Amino acid sequence: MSAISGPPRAVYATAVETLAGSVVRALTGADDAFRLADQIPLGGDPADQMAGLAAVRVLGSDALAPFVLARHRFSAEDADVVATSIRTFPVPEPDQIDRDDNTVLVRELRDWATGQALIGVGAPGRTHPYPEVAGPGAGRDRGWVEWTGMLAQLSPMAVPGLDSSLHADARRHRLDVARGVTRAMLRRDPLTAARLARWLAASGEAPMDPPFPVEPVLRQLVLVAKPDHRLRLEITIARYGLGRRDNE
Amino acid sequence: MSDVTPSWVATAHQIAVRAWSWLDDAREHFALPAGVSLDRLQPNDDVQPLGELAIAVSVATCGGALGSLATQTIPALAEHAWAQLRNGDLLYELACNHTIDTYPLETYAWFVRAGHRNSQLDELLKHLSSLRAARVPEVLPNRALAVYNAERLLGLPSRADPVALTARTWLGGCPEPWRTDFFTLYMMTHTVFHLTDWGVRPDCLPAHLQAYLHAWLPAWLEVYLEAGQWDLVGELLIVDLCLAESVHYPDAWDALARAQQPDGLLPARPGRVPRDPATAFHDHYHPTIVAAIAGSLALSQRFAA
Amino acid sequence: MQVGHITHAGKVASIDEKAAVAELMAPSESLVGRPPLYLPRSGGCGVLLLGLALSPSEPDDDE
Repeated sequence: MSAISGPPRAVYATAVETLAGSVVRALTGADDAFRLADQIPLGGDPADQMAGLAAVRVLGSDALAPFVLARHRFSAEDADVVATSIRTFPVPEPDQIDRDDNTVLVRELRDWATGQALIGVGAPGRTHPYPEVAGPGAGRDRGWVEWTGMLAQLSPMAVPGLDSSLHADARRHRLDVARGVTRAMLRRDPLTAARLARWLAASGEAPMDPPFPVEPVLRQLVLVAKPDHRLRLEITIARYGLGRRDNE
Repeated sequence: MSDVTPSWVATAHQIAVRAWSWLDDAREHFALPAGVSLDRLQPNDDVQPLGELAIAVSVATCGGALGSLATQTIPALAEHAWAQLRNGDLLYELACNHTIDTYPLETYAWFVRAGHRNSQLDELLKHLSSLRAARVPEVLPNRALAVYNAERLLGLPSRADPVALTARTWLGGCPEPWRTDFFTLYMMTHTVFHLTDWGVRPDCLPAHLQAYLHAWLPAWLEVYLEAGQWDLVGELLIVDLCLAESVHYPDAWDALARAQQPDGLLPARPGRVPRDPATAFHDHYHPTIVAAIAGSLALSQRFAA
Repeated sequence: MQVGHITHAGKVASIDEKAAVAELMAPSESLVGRPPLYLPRSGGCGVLLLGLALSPSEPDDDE
């Protein structure tokens, strides 16, 4: 692929789409082999490599889903890609951003999830401790709209096999998550709807009261939303949470 | 129960007082179009505003929170609207001419609620509602509940089953809360208004629907607050007031108060309010009536407690 | 640590590049799409009393 030029956001968005598409194919069994190293073109243009690393960074632990959820073999090269992506795009220093902002907390929680995924595939590397400030009730004080906004950014955490204070909060406050899904659907924000649906899917099988089935949301998104690999990835992983493998 | 008055009470009071002030000032616009013959009257444009004013008056005059507004200004508005309808004779003529439409019955019920009666109309409506045809009107499910409540307010025997009628409404199906839209939510609000008789009979809304609304009102409020759809926001707040346990969404009340103009007009949606008074009335009388109802109902419940 | 074929290893992203990654991680909180709205043709909603005696009109996109 020739180098794409343009502002980083547009270039990286394309790379994220490409990587997400590869991950979805790996999860649905459409592709036999999945290697993160393949996503960073061998001997390729530095700009393309940067974009590839950015894509891995943006997807975070979701880039490791084929290894965690679908048993693709994780290699040392794959570990290198992850480590390099983190080094290249570090978590912002707290003094670089608004103190009121959840940014650092969100980044640390995502990195924790990535660390857990690496442990899961037998390649721990650097440890990412669970942030102390993300204890029980974290982010709840500003109401459900902001709290679900935070959860949406943390959708990589919502996978089968992970548990934490935040997961416990999500289970305890499933109604708020469902309100977030409802709001996202009505605002025509399919990505947020899918990300929050993942949290519901990961929050246990007991039906909610009033009921809020997750699969119809996912099916609606598949049928109605613009076909977008990143959206498809969230939906695919949500279905893993629901115990399903089919993705049509 | 705390002695501290929650902030939404003061907000509701301000919204109500301002809205009533605007409605009183706009009295001349609550009128039938001059020189329009009976068969050319438009139910929605011409008669409906008068009926809606009557609902608002009937809500505001239960309970004493609005002081002299409630004893003088507000009832006078219902009298004015009733006079526009020739003390009900016009509704009688409409019912004679358009016997299938239910809106004369529905409109009259609001005036009865505000303390006005017309004996000729009483007799005619009693006869019409006794017919077999009255059992099978081809109307939207929430309208069937409007008819049911209207007959009840008039003391007419109804053979309809409110449980069955409710089951046919969108709300009654407890659907996916994300599978809805602007119009559908209005159908929901009206279902609640008719079932509970504007909050007078909250227990007529079954428990599972109370739970459904507690679950999803916050999401709908948030969406339509963000979109600046104040008319619908107002109706959603009235729905909350019709529940057995109202939540009283202070942020929504505050947003409504900020959206309301100083003269009391509540704009229906974002965008400039027309300068021409007749156009402004036409476009925004409805949300202002909603504001009057919401504020007045909130106050009457607070002070009844 | 083996850095393999990633010739960009060791380089830290510029501020713009980091910002791009940060933006892509987080969903936008701006109104992504207008909620389902059918703004009535006539000024009044006309639904309070008569429960949709109006016929539905098309979505109004001129905000």
